[in-house]
Amino acid sequence: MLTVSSLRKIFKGRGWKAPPVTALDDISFEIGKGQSLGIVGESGSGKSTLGRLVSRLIDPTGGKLLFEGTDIGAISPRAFVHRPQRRQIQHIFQDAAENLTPHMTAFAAIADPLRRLVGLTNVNDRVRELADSVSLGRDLLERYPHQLSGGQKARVGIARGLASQPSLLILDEPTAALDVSVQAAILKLLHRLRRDLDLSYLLISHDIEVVRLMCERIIILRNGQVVEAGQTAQVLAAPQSDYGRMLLAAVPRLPS
Amino acid sequence: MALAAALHDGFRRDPLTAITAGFIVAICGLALIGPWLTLHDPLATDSANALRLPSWHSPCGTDQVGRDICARIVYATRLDLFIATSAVALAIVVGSALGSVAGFFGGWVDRIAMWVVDTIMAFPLFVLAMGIVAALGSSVENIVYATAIVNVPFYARTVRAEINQRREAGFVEAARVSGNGSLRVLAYHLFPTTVPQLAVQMTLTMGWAMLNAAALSYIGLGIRPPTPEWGIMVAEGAGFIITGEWWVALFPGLALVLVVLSLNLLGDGLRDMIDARERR
Amino acid sequence: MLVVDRLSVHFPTRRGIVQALDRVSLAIEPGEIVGLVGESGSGKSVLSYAISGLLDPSARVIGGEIRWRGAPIGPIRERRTTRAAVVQIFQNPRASLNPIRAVGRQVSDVAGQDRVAPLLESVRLDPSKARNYPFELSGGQCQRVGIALALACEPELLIADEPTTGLDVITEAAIMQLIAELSRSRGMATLLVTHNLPLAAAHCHRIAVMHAGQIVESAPVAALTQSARHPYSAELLAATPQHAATPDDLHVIQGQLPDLVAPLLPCRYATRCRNRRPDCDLSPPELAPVASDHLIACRHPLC
Repeated sequence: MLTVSSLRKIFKGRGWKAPPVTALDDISFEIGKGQSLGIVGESGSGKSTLGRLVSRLIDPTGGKLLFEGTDIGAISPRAFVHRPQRRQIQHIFQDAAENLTPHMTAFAAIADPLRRLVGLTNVNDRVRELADSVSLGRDLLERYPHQLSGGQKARVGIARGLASQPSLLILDEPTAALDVSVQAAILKLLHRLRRDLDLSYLLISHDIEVVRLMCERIIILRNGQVVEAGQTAQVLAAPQSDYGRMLLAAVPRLPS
Repeated sequence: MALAAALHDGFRRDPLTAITAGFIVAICGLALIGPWLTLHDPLATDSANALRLPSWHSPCGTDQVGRDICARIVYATRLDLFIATSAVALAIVVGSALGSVAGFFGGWVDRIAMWVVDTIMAFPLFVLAMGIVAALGSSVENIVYATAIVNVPFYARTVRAEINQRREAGFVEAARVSGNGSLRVLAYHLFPTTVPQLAVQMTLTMGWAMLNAAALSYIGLGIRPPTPEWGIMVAEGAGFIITGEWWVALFPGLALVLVVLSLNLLGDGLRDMIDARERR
Repeated sequence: MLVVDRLSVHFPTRRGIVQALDRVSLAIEPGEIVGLVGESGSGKSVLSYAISGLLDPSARVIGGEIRWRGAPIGPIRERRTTRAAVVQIFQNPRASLNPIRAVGRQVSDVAGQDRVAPLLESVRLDPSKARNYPFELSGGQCQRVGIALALACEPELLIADEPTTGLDVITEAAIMQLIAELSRSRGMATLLVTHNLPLAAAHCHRIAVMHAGQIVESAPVAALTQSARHPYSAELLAATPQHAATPDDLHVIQGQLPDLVAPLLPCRYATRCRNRRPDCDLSPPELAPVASDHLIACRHPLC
């Protein structure tokens, strides 16, 4: 369904004497229907950039992005908004607090893609359906983002992402800002949704445990390059690279 | 309503702002219904009763042709408020549009828009207003246009700064992913975030706009007598101060001062309230 | 060295009085690394601010006190001297640094020019980074500068409030290792405030678990992880993702933190507790030892 080949992204340097930054270099992978791929890396590894490239929020510098046969990399972000693929690929952002428009209620946030992407005029029923599917109480729909808890905001973000019935969801650190118990609830929700709706996930996280639970396959990024790739269980049991080993060793664990 | 609750809360903490807000509301009320409440016709002359001291009959006294000053002040409220409000409204519309596209799109759009704004700001603003009215002719319409043009830069720059600051925010990207094109993102997602700052700016420039209109009339441009307007009334009354008829200039001047002061205080109060909320 | 003795703090707010801390007791000895663990809203930051003397002036201490080496200290921010013996590092590393001054200058402000290089080296930063501004450094590097600034005061107690949230695991491990080294070499005590229980378990000597403004359990790490006695601690341990094989196995702690403004039950965990009995509502549970150095506040602890 999604094929990424030799993807590259170079950013211009910040500041007048800074050299250009290669955020991603020669990234290739595939995601089939109903599959889940996890991207793990430190901050600065390029994982968020990868997510935004696949979502077509930014342009690649090189390489190909094929979605269901169409080269979506060639479509500019401005034009992509109006293409049918925009409905098919949705993005759930890190830290829902910053990604919900502050003056729009939860209802308005979920209704937005329904109006823009699906073309519905009567959105009430569908918004309520979506709220139910993410276990967001209907009474919370009239609230503004600053009146919602972290977990509730995350649910609004997910409901919004599901509105257009996408086949691929890009999840960028979906639970990073959440407490362990709220994180558990959100991960369970995402897992159930994937099963029920046959979604594919590109899940980006710095937390290996999250990727272990949610993704069958994993890619470890470092400085924009793939350091490890393969079945999650195998990579985590026996990392092939020094960096992979270092990363896994650094994860704090409870004594069992 | 979230806005009503926020205002109520803000006013409770800052009674001075609440009082000035109430005063402004009263002035608006006066502008709307005042003319029906006055006892005298503001244009009716009565030479026999010219230059009378304030009395029960005429609380502000009468002017040099016997017109009741109080009635004239009340009628002038409507005109002055109308000029200030329309000028500010026009300035907001044009300034916001300029500032929004400049802040959002950047590049040459930004350069051209800011070039226009900078050109306006290069002139001493009152002189510019004078020039526009002198060129276009004295009328209420032209005063509104002149005042509006002169105020556009403040709004344009405020909106541009607010939009620029938030252009890269997460919710902007999220709005794009939800299918909003650039203009929709700008209009529905970004622009409403500038409204609090705009509201503050608006009350502050209303006072200035009112002074501007009064000053233009004072120097003979703009409103023509016998139309009652605070500026003209002060101008006409100024000559009588020497001869001891202090009330002809004082009362309209006082009206102007009180309203402008209240608008400024209200603007300050609103700004404090809004800054406090944004800091939280 | 530091003793928090039955400290209770309230904050008057528009909605009502927030009963932020309730009879919190905690002790820290030199060289100890103590973890303060709880969900967000549990009051851990309030407690850390109280110990640093940085509480907002609107806070009201309605009971108990904090003692530093035996002498009482005030938890509320005053304009007088800051206590250099107790230093805090905060969650957002960039927010603590002045964005328009080079980091080297900021360190030299506190420590003097001569100590800049050795201090930066002690936090494993290349001394040449002293010329850089905060925006030129990564989050992890900024946090290390923040730690260097804190250490420049040669504190006896370091309060680290979520110092590694948002940082990747490798940087996190490096920072925690640094703190551990300093506690060994200088006898510096540390209070690590975090919602990440595995992190605390990996690096602390002792952990105090907080819930809704109350300390519910305080024990050495091994005792807590192997035989937690308070139902909430057990829930926190069970919720750790590493125990789950699939997302369906993940444990969700039932209920929510109670609203601290509303009238509260004596045991603030009662509404979420699986072990709740009628006598739990009679009076507040006191923090009492169940084994040496293992304290819990519960009438019906787990066995």
